[in-house]
Amino acid sequence: MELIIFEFLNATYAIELSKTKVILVYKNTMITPVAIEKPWILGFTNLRGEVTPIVDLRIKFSKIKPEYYEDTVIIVVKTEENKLIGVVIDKIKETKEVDIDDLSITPDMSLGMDPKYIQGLKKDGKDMISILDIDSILNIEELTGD
Amino acid sequence: MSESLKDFFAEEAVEIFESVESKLIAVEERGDFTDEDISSLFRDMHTLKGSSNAVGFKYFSMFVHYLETFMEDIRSSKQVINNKVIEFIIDASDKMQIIFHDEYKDNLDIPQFEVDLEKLQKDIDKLKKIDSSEDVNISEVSNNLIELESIEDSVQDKNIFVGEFVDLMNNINDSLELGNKLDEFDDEFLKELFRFVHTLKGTSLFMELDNFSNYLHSIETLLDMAREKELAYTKEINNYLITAMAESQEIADSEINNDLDNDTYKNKIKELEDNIKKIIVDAKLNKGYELFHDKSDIDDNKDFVLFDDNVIPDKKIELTTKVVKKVKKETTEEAKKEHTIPTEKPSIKRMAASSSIRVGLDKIDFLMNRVGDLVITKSMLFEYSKVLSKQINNRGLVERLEIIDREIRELQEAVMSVRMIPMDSVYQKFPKVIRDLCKKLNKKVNFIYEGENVEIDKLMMEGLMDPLTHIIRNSMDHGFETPEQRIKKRKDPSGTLKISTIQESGHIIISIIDDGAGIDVNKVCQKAIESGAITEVDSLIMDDNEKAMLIFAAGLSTADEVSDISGRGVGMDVVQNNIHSLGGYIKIQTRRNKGTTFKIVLPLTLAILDGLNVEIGSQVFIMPLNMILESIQPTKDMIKRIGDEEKEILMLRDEFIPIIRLHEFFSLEPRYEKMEDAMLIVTQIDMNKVALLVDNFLEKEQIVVKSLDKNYKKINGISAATIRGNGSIGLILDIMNIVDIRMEQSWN
Repeated sequence: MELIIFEFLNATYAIELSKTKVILVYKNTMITPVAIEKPWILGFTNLRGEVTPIVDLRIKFSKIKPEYYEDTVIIVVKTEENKLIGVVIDKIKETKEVDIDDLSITPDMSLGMDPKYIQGLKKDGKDMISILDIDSILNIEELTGD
Repeated sequence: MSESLKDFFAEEAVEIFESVESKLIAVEERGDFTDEDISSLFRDMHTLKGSSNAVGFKYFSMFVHYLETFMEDIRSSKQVINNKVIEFIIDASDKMQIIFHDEYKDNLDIPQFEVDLEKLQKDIDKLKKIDSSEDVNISEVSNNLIELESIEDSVQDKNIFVGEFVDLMNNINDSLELGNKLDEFDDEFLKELFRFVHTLKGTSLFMELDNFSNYLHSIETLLDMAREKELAYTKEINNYLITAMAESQEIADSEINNDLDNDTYKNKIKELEDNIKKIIVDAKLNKGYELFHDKSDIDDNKDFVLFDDNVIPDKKIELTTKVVKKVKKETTEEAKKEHTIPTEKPSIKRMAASSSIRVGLDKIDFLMNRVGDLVITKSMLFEYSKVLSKQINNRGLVERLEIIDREIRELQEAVMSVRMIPMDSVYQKFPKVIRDLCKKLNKKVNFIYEGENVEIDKLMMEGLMDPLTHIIRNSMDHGFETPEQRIKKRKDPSGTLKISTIQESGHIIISIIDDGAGIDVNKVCQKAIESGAITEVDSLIMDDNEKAMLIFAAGLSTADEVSDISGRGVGMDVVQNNIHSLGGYIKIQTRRNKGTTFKIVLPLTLAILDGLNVEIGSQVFIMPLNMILESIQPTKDMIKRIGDEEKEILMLRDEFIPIIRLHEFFSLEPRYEKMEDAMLIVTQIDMNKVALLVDNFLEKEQIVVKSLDKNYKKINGISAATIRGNGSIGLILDIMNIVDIRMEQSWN
């Protein structure tokens, strides 16, 4: 399984590469905000004629106010609900082929987010990569609920 | 009878008079009467008689009746045609018009009318007695020719038949499907089926689908025998007929497209006849067997070609033997020639086909999307021209852009209109559904509909069919009581189901109203608590209509027993999902023992609308232009308050209109502190006016509607999104939704 590995909330995460469609540079993206939606729903952007929501999960998973830099990017994911959703992340690191049978079991304590959002963990040198279950995170009910 | 209906008929009548006149004049000039002329004149008379009778033109209708009968005689060759006959018809139709105008103005001289009518009868009788020998020539000429002139008239008629044809085909298929579920076939079922097939056969003859009609003939004969109880109609026969009808559809399709392969067709009809023969033999009925034996002899005969394209109908053959022999010979040869070089002779069918074409919806959608892109590109161009105008004088450019704007608009409307169809075609499906369910459930329900001329997007209609059918089935099953129950409740034993469609303030509103038992909201609530959809605490704060909305929760059914009509708890959640995916929403109002109203609110189109950009705080939203009644900058004394300082009412002329601050709704900071500096937009929803507070108006813009559901979900107060000239996303205000939400908030 090929993964796209990125930095996010001061840790290393990954999404299945096959689920990502486009990568946008945050500062070049025009986002129309919708204030009445959940704070992590930044708004909508025009992705080749498609009205695409942009979410900043850093707001959902952390209390620290997120910062946007030159290299802040948006990974646009096609979810299993067949929706295109853009996810803001801090920095893309690399893509990497990973053996899916080789994943470590996720402990169900001491996690900063609901274990159902984590597909598995992987040791990478000194680092730990958390592979996100992006479909479950971006499930519309899940994403827009409390 | 209402005057408007009379006027409506008068318009129709004048059109028919004109068409009759032009036909008769053409006939007189040519000196011959073709089959086409006769059929078309007969139909005109028939329509005139029927409609006039229905709207109360008593005398006129009587007069036309005689003419119609006379035309029928000509049509069935009981009356020969000569110059005198043509002259007579022309005179009579003049008289007919005079009578019509007099009766329309209510000054018909009745004694004079009786004289006219008597004269008409006498003239007809006289013509009937004239010997036919001198007229053979005219008849002969007319038999040989399919006149080009008559083609144009008939093209129009043929298009009318296509609709009828499709309807009948659907009716038959529906009946057969229904038959599959029946345990026994009653007389009514067989009679109805026979009638459908019989009518379809007739219609197909008008459309000159001779092969298809031949094919149907065998099916018709079988049904006729079943109807007359000469054989027992069984499930097996029913099943076979389903296959046979599918087969016949193919024949009709290829015949319409002029690519029917004669050998394939012969095989198919042979197969059908063999099968039907077998069915009849199995039913051990010799009478039927002989009937089909004769028929297949005809097929084996080379004269089979007589039943093929462009050959005169056999009724003409009865005219005089001499003529018939000659004609038969000629036409047979001609027909053979036809098959080798089919393109040489003008065929009515081909001309009919070329006046309308069937296009896949995907192609229209593609066209629609391209036009949408064009609109967006145009907006970008406009935007850019504004940037330019700051640098150079570009008056010329702006003028040209305006031309492009107008042309794109027209193009857009044209493409849109291709997709629009009247609600009538939605309603058509329901009388049968309701009738069938009434029988099955032993209920009596009258079906009324309104707004059949309101046009809706074809795509929307498709998405609407299932929800509407579901709601109707549900009303029939759970809503309406049996006649006995209704009598006990002192209600009319037959219930009334009404569907109405109106177009109001940028929405299509479809109401399905029944006067049945209403929804048992407590039962629904109980089930919802059991299934975990809501908690008991939730249920305490819900009103009846909110509780009724719970029927849309997935997997909920109040039916204690599952029937095949409804009650599996799937369906109502699908109803809501389907309507949401069309960008609309559904509301329920229910009152115990009074009935239930489902109200479906849909956007006018799925595609393009005119919007006004409005500034709310730091953001720009789009308000559908057709929602705006008026806009004003209020003065201080126009703003009134009752109680709470935060709630305002606009005093506009003699009206008091509630104000909604859109900033508040969208959690945005208002630009102006005082309402007098801002702007109010007055809009109307369900007869109630509401004023919306915005900071500023900007320019009008034509926008392409893009659904938010596709990649996200419905947002409160926002109906959809669009792409702006600068490439960013614009949000379209959902005024109705905003008002609904505010209303709920203020009541709680």
